[in-house]
Formats: sequence, structure tokens, C-alpha cells
Amino acid sequence: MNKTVSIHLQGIPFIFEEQAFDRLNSYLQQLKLVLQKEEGSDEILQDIELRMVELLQQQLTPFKQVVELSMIEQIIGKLGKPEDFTDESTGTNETSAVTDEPIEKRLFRDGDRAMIGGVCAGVAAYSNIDVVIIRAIYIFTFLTFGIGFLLYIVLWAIIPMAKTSSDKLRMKGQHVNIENMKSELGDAANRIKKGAKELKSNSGIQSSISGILRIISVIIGIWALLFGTGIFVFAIVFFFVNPDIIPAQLNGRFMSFQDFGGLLFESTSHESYFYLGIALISIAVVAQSYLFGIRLITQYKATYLKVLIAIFGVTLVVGVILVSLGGVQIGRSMAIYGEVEKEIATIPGLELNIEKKSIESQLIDGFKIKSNGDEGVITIKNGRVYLQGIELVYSQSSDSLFHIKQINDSQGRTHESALKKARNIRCAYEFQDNRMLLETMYSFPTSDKFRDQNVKFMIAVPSGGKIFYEKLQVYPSFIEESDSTTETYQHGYISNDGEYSKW
Amino acid sequence: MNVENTQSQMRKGILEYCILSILDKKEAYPSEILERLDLAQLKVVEGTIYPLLTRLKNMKLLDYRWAESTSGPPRKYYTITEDGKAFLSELERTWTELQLAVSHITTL
Repeated sequence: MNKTVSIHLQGIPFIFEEQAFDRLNSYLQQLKLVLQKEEGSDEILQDIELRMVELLQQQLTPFKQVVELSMIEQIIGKLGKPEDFTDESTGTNETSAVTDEPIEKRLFRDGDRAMIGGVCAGVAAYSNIDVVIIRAIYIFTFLTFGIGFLLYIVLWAIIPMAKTSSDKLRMKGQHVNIENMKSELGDAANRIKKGAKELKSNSGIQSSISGILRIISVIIGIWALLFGTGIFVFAIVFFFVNPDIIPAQLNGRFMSFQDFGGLLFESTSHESYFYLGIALISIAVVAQSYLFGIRLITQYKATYLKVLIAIFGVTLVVGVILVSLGGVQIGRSMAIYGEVEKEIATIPGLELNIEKKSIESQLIDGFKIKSNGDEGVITIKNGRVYLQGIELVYSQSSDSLFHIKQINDSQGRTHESALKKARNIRCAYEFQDNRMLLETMYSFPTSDKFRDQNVKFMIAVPSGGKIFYEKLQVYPSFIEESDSTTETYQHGYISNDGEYSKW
Repeated sequence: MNVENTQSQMRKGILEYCILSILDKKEAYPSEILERLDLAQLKVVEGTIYPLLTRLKNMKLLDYRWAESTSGPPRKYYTITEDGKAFLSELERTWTELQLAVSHITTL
């Protein structure tokens, strides 16, 4: 019992034994290859196929309806070897002359190694670069600019698929001769056998799923490489370039990450642990991303890779521990809250006008200076940190006077240090009759570090008393949404640009 | 270079002349041409005549028409053109000259 294949030659149906079909198919492919230089090769092939039909029909009888391998061999013997078909050939001399010609490589899509349309595989064959790298580059362009997608569609449309064995040889730039043809056909036969095996074991669908999984893993791999590169660039910038990019002013320039770090850490040793930890984490994350990405893209598995993954895993853990130590130090130095208050003024009357105090009141060429040159929220000048934003809290006065208290608060490792830092906060103000001139910034020494220092003014208002900020009544300021008509906003905040907000 | 190769080259050289001669008498489809050659004991590899026919057709020495067949696929009947006839008479003259020359040399 043999498997058969049903085909037609020039419109006439035949039933072929599988082997007979393979033999005929490879013979016709070889003929096509040999005849391709001939003008009108399609016509010649057509003539030959017509002749084959005739010869086959002569051999088939009602009792012998299947074309067997022996019949094909007989017909081929009659028609001649592929080499005989070129009537110009004068023997072996010319064949070698053909081989010496420079090969004209052509770009084809490679259907045998295709994931989608075989574009990448074709380009890989043409350029002699590993297909994985071509795919990686393609996916990179796709993910970064999206042009990869369009490019792929265009290439898919314009590059022809390598259909015949001769196409496949030219795709690889191999000489189109009978020897190479045989090996290419052998490859094809192996692939077909492999495919048939996969089908038999019912894993055809599995293989397409694994193809998709492969694409996904390559994409994830590319992302891992991109991520690793990003972290690498960031780490290089952080440690070596250390640019002044934090929008806080340090003696007239912006701050760098490390300037900022210096305002957080109490001791330099803690600071260095922290940076060492950051460095270790960066190295570990970059290395792991690259290892992960490379493994996904190339499917390359080696024991030393596992060793490297373990080493950088340990590096990561150590880095995290060091950074946490730094974090814990900051946390501990901000553990206790301290608050101090001082009554700074008592003002009679029913009106208090709060005004923003301009920092410089000197005149240059008759102009009064309005801007202060500080664009950042944080400014460091003369060993002091300047922060913007003052809070106002209103309450009822027990007598007929305005009572104004300044309240400073801070965090610290101990209550004493918190209170000391709170006392170190300074805010400039001035009273003239019922006017309160207020700077919108406050300051503390850089040696105190950032410990959540804040300043607020508590203003006790006599009954019937009103407060204006820059001529705008801010107290009482009744809450519109409230059911009660007497409920008023109790808080105000003057931000760095002098804007007043209430709640 | 072995003797078979030389023989085949010699046959190939006169194949064109033979085909044109066959078609000069009567239109024929490739299998008929092969039959005639076979009858005349001119041993050719079948494969060689197909490129040759197409080449002669492209040179406008031959023309063809399709004809239905009762027993198989349609047949491609080749006919000789006027150009082909002129070409053939040139070949005939050359062949006669060659034949004379060769026999003169070999029988000398």
C-alpha cells in the first residue's frame, strides 16, 4: 500500500505515487533552473509537460492507473538529463566557466524560515546576517518610530517570495548549478519531512503557537535591552555627568542629584552607602536586563549565563540593602515632630492688611526691582535653604485685638533636634500700623537638612474683624457650598508666586 | 572529450536542419517530429528539441497552432514560415557542400 498524490499536468489529471511525484517535481524544478537563461523558458517547459502527458498516457491502462516511480524514471531517461536541455552547452568546460561568474544575489522573501511574511528571513539570507538580529533591528524600529511596521508591509509587498529552488539559491547567493540544487532540494525534502512529522504528532498548531511565543519573547527581549540601556544611560548621567537639573537654585545655578542628596543625609557615610547601593542596583539591573534580553532573543542557554544571573542577583540584593540603610537613616532622622510658637504682634482695629513683601526695595536707575531672580521652589543661598509657601490659619480672638503667632515645625531624630530645627526657621515680616508685610519664603540652615520644615501664621481675629490679602478679603470668606451662611474658610496659603488659595 | 560527446555534438548540429526539413513537408507536433527522427535512426535526447523549437519559433522561422486531440491534451502543431523556408534552403546548400567536402576528405 502506497500513498498517492493527485495532480494535473497541463490540465490533465493524474494520480501519482508519492515517490514518483517527488521525482517528477524535482526534475521539473531542475529543468526550470537549467532553462531559465533560455528565451521563452515557460513555453519550453509547457512543451515538455505536454510531452510528458503523452508519454504517461501511453503507459497507463485501465488496470494501471497510478503513475509509479519506474515510469517517471523511464520518461526522464527518454527526455534526457537536465544538462542535455541546453543545446549550447559543449560539455564540462562551460559548466565551470558558469561557476566562475560573479553570482547575482537577489532579495527574496524566505517562506521556509518566515515568521510573518519572510521579509526578515529574506533580508538575513541576502545580507548573510543572523535572522534574529535582523528581526531585532526590525522590531526596534517598529517600537521606537513605528516606521518598521510600514516598512515591513512595503517590503512584504514588493519583495517576491522565493518559490523555486533556484530562487532560494540566488537568495543565498549560491551558484545555481546542479550540485547546489540537489542540496537545496535535499534541504526542502528534510523540511517537508520534519513538517510531516510535526503534523503527525498533532503539533502543527503547537508549532505556530511556539512561533508566536517566539516573536513575543523577542519583543520582550528587545524591551529588556532597551530598558537596560535606559538604566545604564541614567546611571552614567547620575554618577559621572551629575548635571544640574533639579529645578532648585544653588548659589545661582540649578542643583544636581547629588547636591540634593547632600540636603537629605545627616552624615556623609550614610550618603556614600546610599550611592554605593544605587550604583550596585544600576549595575545589577543593567546586567540582568541585558542577560534576560539576550537570552530571550537568541534562545542561547549556557551555564555561565546562569552563574552571571546569580552573581548579579546577589549584587542587586546588596544594593537594595545599602539603599534601604540610607532610607532608614533618613527615616530615623525624621522620626520625631517638633513645633514651636511665638506671639509676634498684637494689632488693634477691625482690619488687617497682609501684603507680599518685595525682597529688594532698592532702586536701579529709578526702577524698583520686582523680581527676585529665584525661579525654583527651593533656593540655596549663603548657607541657608529657602522654601516658598506660607500657611495662614484663622481663629476667633478672645478680645478686640488681632493676635498674630508664628508657628514653626520640623522633624528630627530626637525631640530636641526637631525643636532646634524648628527654632532655626526664619521668615521675614514687618508690621506697619494695620499692615503686615510678609515674605512668601522662609529659610533654615543647610546643615539642618530637609526635615519637612514648615511655617504658618496663626491669626486670631476679633469679632467683626476682616483680613485682606493684597486688597482681597480673605477672612471672613464664606463657604458657598455650605448650608450654614456663617461658615468661613479657616485656612489660607500663599504660594511662591504670591497666589492665595483657601480651604 | 569522449566519443559520445562528439557524436552528440554532431547530431545536435544537424538537428535544426532535420527539424526544418520535416516541417517543410508537413506540419507536425513535437511527438511526431520525434517519431520521424526515431524512424530515421537519428538518435537524439528528446529534451534537446524543445528549446530548439522554441528558439526557431522566436526567430520567426517556425510558427505554431493549437489543435484539439481526441486522446489527450491539445497539441501544438509547428509549421514552417517563409523565412524558415529561405533559411532551410541556405542550410540545404551548406549541407550539400559539407557532405561533398567530408566525403571528399574521408574517401581520399
